[in-house]
Amino acid sequence: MILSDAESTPPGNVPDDSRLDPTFLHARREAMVIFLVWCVALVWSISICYWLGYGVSTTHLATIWGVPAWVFWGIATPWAVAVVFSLWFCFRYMVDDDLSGRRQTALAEPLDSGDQPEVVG
Amino acid sequence: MGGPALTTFVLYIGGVLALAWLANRLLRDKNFLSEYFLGGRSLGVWAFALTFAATSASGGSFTGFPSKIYSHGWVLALWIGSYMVVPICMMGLLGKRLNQVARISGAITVPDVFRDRFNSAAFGLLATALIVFFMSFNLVAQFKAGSLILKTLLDSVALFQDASQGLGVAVNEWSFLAGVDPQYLLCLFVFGIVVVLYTAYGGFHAVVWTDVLQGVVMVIGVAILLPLTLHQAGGLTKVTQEMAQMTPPRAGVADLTVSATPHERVVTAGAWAWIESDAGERHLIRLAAAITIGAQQKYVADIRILELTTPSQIERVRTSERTLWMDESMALGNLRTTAYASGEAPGAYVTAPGPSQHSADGFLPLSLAVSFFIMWAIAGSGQPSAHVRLMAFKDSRTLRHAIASVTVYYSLIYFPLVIIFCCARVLMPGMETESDRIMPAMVIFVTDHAGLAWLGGLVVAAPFAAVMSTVDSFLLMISSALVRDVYQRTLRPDAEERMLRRLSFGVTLLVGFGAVLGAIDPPRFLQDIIVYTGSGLAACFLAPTVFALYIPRANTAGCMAGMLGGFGTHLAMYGAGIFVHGSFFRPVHLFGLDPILVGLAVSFVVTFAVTRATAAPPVHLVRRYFYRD
Repeated sequence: MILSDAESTPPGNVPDDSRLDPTFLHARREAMVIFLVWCVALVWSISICYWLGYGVSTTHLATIWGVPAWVFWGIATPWAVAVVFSLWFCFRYMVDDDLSGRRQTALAEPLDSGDQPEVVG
Repeated sequence: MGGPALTTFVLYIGGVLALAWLANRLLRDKNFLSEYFLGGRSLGVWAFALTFAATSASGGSFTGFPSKIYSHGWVLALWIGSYMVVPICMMGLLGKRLNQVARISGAITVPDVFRDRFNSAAFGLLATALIVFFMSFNLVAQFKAGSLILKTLLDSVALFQDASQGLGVAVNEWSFLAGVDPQYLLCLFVFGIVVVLYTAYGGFHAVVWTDVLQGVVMVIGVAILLPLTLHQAGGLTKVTQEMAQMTPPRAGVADLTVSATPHERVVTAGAWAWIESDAGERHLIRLAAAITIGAQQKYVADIRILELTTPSQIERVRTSERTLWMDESMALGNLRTTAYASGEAPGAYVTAPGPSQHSADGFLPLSLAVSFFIMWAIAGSGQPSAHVRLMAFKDSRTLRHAIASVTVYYSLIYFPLVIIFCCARVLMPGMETESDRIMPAMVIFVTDHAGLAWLGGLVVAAPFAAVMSTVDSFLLMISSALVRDVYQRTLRPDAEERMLRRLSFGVTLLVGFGAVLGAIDPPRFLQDIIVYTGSGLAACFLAPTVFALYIPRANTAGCMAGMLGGFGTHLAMYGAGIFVHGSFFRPVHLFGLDPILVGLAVSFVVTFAVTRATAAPPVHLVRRYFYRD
């Protein structure tokens, strides 16, 4: 689904990939990691809940700290793991980037409708 | 709930209005539109984190979600399960890049981003139209939620009862208000006026600051409610064991026989009664709606009722001092009920897919569980109300810290809510008849029971705060779309700031009071509207936003086609629900999948295909947004 840089960059006077904005590259890499984590959470929760929680008998309902076992292993546990991962991701993995638009605004062509780009940074 | 609780609540409202006044002072001597609609892109960690969390945790989180937990049990933990990764997905997938692109272009609104990224006025107007369409629906639902909460809070206050009676008499001759509950109407007016005024007056800063206050109130509310509820229910293990024995109630109708009187009488909704069947069995039922018995009337047919079928719940109602029984002179008979479509076996409330009144497959079949896992986390990333906040934070350090904060914050809200309202099934039987009111009703129940009525005002303020924080944000988004994207950028690019200022205040007031009027006769199911609008916005906006931010080759034709494709597919599946299931809010599930999944898939595929099939975007746009120079 996602186009590679080679095919996504239009022909013409665009610089080569080495000139790609580092903030764009960092944001894209971080987005891919986040998407992967969401996939893991989906597979974990859905498969455990399906295995332990769907259509099971409640004659001897297993609970852990009062929580049905399928909720504990399928939701509560990955939730705790997701919190730990998110903290690691935020404080160890994510890069601080310059989000300022000054440089690019200076290069930009005038916007339509007489609107002037606002430089904030 | 009496004086002390009301005082706490009034103080809270006073705090909200004071923040709006302070926010308005910030608007002076600054770029008006940027400050009014985006807060000057200066949000720090706490402001950003809490405004993001409070806006996302809408009235749905504190009214519709508790209602669903109460109605379907533990399976709601799976329904909401993807909230474990919602903060990192909603803020991390697009946040850094969206903020950068908005700064590069100078965008103030979400339609601005599309308009500037693709240099297309038509794209901006399309985005504006879709935002106004979906958010107007949502706004009406949120106003209803706020009014219901306020009604529960003020229910037993004498001044409120007098005022609502007076209002009922005053509006009695207005045909479009005839039949509207005067208590609800009064609450709608009070809630509407407060929210619309502070939003219009203070703009984005007011919305953010009040969101911070509301976010704090929400988490404190849950933190207080959790131990009180667990204590009164006898612990979570006992609750789950009792839920395992529960069987779903039966819904139906009965007929009422009374002795005639010269005066009209009203029997309150929620009153309990016994009905004896021809076979001599006794059935415990609860009135699902108020009954008006006319003067000299002796018989009322087809009264909507709910019948309890679980022995432990019947016993709790029978022995509770709080039970409101129907007048014994009134006799109910001819009981006709139907069982839940998913069956009546015990255990449904502690296993998946959970009980369902209408579906034989249960509340959450596996395909829907997958759909919701995608919807909250991935589709949540496509919400324009979240995008506005992602455009407003100060720097990437703020983003990192805010993701971490919201992750912890949501963990303290959502899983505890599942526990609290599972306990509510045990403590407050029969609330299926008015499950949208379960949150405030539960707050009042447990705080009264604990002898802490004064605390009720603060805790009830939590769901009220959740609704307020969503309403103000959506209100501002609609007015920004109209003022900035339609008026300033399309009709009058040379409009003076004084004119824009007046127009912003005016449009915010107009949209707000328009939504109040719409909420006078609102659709019934809050959560259904919230799910429809939330999923619809995601089906329209996620794919074009991802392509706009991350794909240099993305072009106007591809992204506009993807936006329309998502909108059309999603709407078609809901529309087909009218013909297949008899209701717009019971959409068709293609291959068992929720409309959001199909809408998103179509939107991504269409965006990709049309992008590939049409010309590459202008080089200067690609250089501007993707390259260093």
